[in-house]
Amino acid sequence: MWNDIRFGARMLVKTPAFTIIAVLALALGIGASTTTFSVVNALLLKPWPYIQDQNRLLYVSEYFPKVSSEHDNGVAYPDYLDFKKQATTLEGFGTTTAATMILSDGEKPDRYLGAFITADAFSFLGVQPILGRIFRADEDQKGATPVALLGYEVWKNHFGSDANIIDRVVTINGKRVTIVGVMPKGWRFPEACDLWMPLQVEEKENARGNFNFACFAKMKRGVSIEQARAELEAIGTRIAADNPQTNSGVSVRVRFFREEAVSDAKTLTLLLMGAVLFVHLIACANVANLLLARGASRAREIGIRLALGAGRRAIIRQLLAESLVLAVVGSALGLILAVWGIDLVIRAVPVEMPYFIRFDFDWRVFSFSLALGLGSAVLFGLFPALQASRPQLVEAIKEGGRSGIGGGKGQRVRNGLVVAEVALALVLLVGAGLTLRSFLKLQATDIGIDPSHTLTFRVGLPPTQFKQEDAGRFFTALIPQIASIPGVESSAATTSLPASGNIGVSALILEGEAEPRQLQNARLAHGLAITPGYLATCRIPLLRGRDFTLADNKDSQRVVLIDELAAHKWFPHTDPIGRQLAMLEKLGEPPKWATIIGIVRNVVYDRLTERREFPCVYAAQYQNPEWFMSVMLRTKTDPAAFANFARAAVLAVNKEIPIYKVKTMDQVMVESFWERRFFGTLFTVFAGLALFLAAIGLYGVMAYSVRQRTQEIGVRMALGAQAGDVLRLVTGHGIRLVASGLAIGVVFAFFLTKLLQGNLEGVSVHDPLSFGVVSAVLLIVGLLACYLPARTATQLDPVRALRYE
Amino acid sequence: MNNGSKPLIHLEDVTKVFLTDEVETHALSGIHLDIKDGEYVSIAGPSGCGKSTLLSILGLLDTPSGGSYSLKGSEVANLSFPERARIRNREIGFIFQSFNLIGDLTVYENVELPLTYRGMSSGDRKSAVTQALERVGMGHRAKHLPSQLSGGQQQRVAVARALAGKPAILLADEPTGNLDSRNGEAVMELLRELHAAGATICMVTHDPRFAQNADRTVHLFDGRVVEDNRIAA
Repeated sequence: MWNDIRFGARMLVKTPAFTIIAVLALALGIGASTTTFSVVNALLLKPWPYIQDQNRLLYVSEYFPKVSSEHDNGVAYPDYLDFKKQATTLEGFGTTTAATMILSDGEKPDRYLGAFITADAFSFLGVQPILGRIFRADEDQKGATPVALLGYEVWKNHFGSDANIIDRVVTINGKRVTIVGVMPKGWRFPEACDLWMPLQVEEKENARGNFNFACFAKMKRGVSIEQARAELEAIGTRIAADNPQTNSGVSVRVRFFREEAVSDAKTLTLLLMGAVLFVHLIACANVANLLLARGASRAREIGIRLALGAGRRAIIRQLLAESLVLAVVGSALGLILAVWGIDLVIRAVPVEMPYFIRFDFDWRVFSFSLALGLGSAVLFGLFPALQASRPQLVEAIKEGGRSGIGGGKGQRVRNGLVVAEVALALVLLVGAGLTLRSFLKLQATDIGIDPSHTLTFRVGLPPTQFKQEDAGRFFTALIPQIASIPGVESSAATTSLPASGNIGVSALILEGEAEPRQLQNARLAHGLAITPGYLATCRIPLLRGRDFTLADNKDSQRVVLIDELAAHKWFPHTDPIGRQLAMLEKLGEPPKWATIIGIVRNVVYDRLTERREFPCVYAAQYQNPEWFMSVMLRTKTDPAAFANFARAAVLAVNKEIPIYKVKTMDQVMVESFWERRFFGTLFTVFAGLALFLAAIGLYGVMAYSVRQRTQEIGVRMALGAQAGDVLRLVTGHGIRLVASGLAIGVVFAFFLTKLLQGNLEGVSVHDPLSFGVVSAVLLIVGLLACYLPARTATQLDPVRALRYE
Repeated sequence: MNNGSKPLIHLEDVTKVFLTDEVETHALSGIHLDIKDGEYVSIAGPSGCGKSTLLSILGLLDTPSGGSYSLKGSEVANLSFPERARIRNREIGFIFQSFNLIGDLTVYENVELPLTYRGMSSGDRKSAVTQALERVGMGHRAKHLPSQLSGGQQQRVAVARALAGKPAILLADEPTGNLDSRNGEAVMELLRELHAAGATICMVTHDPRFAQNADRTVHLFDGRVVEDNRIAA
């Protein structure tokens, strides 16, 4: 075998053009496949760091099927307590809520995303700190000494990796808190948190009906998810029976934690993996075609070997050894391309990924690449080897003799491979066309505001440190400060940025209506608070009535704005201005009525990929101040240049309050459909690659065919064929191949694009434009690929062609 | 030399018919031929008479359409491809008109090639290859590629390759056809030496001068044996 490999390597070195083309085709296929596999690995295969027995970890949520069967709510805190108390199939049941945590011990305050988490959670998750201890079970009781766990990066960057950090008292959100431990590097549970404090919740502050806690659980050993689900559903039914007003119609959803974490991206990632394997198949088909042609040209050598007593097995082994050398070199180069590819993929993700999604180059990725390379060697090498190992022996060893593989069956196989390449390329191109169109439609979505020249950032006062009036005063002082920055046209604050998805759904009643007996039957709306000037800053047209003013404060009558959809849905036949509505903050409490003073144009607050059709109610920030808000400033020039001015303005109002999530509104828009752009771009890149490889394949076959038919073309020319006749002869052959590939590809694409259902916006999976344009593009590229060999054929010298052997 | 009664090769009523579309071409018709161990036989005849077809059948490169062919007493006419490959490798040494050396292998590797297919150990191969190359006077060129040799030298290497495995018979198809007269003479001299040392040789040639080197000349015409002359020593 070693001799075979050595000889194979020597043969490949002797034919550099063939080797370079084959290795590059394989490297592109393997590189793209390995890059995509690293995404699959990160999302679906790679175990998450530090969590033990991950296959027993569940995600639990509650939702109203009547409202939406797709969107989960969180779990209401009292419901969580009931689940935890009654469940017998679970080893642990925890909950967490994310929160801004401001560490204000240094020269400047640092804001981190933290999590309040039930004290026993880290214990049943199985993670251990690198310093100190995790929380004790009693530390989430009200009145317990405030303690915190530091993330590795906070410990390193904020505290300089201080080994004596344990028991040090620091200020978090204005509270003196004792550090009890430092978590290991890379631990950011549940997604991207850097600080943890025990969750201390008063049930009365979080009544039933407020579904806002993320819950996770660990099944006991030997319990199946079906058993756990059945038990939690039964408990949910009991809760609903005991609390019909809040929980009637509430269902419990139990999923594996991993499934929940990657559900949005799973389908697209697997589709992408399929697409990239198509690309690799095209690459393999190209190499197989090259090998078939090469086998024909080596028929004499193979004939001699057979004459000297080589068995077919020895010939096949020899040729497969060459394929193996090609595959190993292609894999090595593919791995290098994959390293770059993974880097590009990471850079193409505009949002912070959850800590457990890591595109590392681990043994799975390496094994995949190796297996793909070896598998490919068999895939592209076996058939050409089988073909080459049975030449017409006597003919092959004659001087100038031609092999049987050069014509007939060999040609048919080469043609078949090109047809398959065109078909695969068409499927990919149609998929890419659909995702591209969908992404372009999303990009062109009118979200109801003018996002240009707008900078946004998040800022807020920790509720544990500041009273509600303080929050009101802070924003009252901040907004004029921001607006006075030279170059700023206007400024305002909102609890929810358009297209961000950071918005909740609230129940409400209109005047004259009784409070609903069950929450599931309540009117629902998006609710947000805004400061005066928000409409102007976002350029949201006020259709009727008036905007908020500074006079709409806690001392004045409560007022709200509603959008067109609310006006149309709730007041189809009456004028909404002057009518009243009340948001139901807690069922059973007296409603706080507010008067509708204006109607504004509809604005999209959901992420563009997760749009829901809810009416929208705008409350006046200064009448019921919120602690955390997004500030927006419309600028005359590049908004990104105003970040430092904005930061300084905030510190001028309160030197302990940092700003974070500083983004232009255009970036917010992009993030609202980044997955579609990300996958759409990758699909397009892979489809482009497929098109390129298919064109190369077609060109190769046509060029080979022209060489094989040189004598025939010479005879035709000698008999009077014109250049046009020869051109038609050659291109006609190529176009027949392309047309066959297109026909087969269209049929496959028709069925395969159904897999994209649910991941396209405003485009049918059978969009005729995408199918038509892609077919036309392939046809044109096919014509070009045929034209070059055809032109060569027309320039043949008939005398030399007739002598050609 | 052993000219005993049992022939090394025995052909009886061998025919070869080529079918192309609707045309039947009878390349060989009713060939009877015995070649004894140690004999030097030349096959002569005009172009297209079936000499090369006969040699292909003798070398198990092709199968007869009819008749029987026994080599060393065993019927080999209708063996499977792998069995024929095994016999070619062990019992037959080929010398082609166009040398048929593999251009990407060195002289040494070319001679070694049939031995590798035999599964011979590396040490045995080395000794056999060195011996064969020395025998044809090409030991000093072992590391050269065929393209670095003259035609005569290439044919010597081809002879060494044919000899290395100590086959029962050497089949030579116009071994001087691609050589000038001086090199042609040298190759014929080499074959004479091999024959003198006991080798069985069957050579196709249309050159009467070289045919005279053989013990016996078989004349073919239109696919039939028309004359079988034993040349007096």
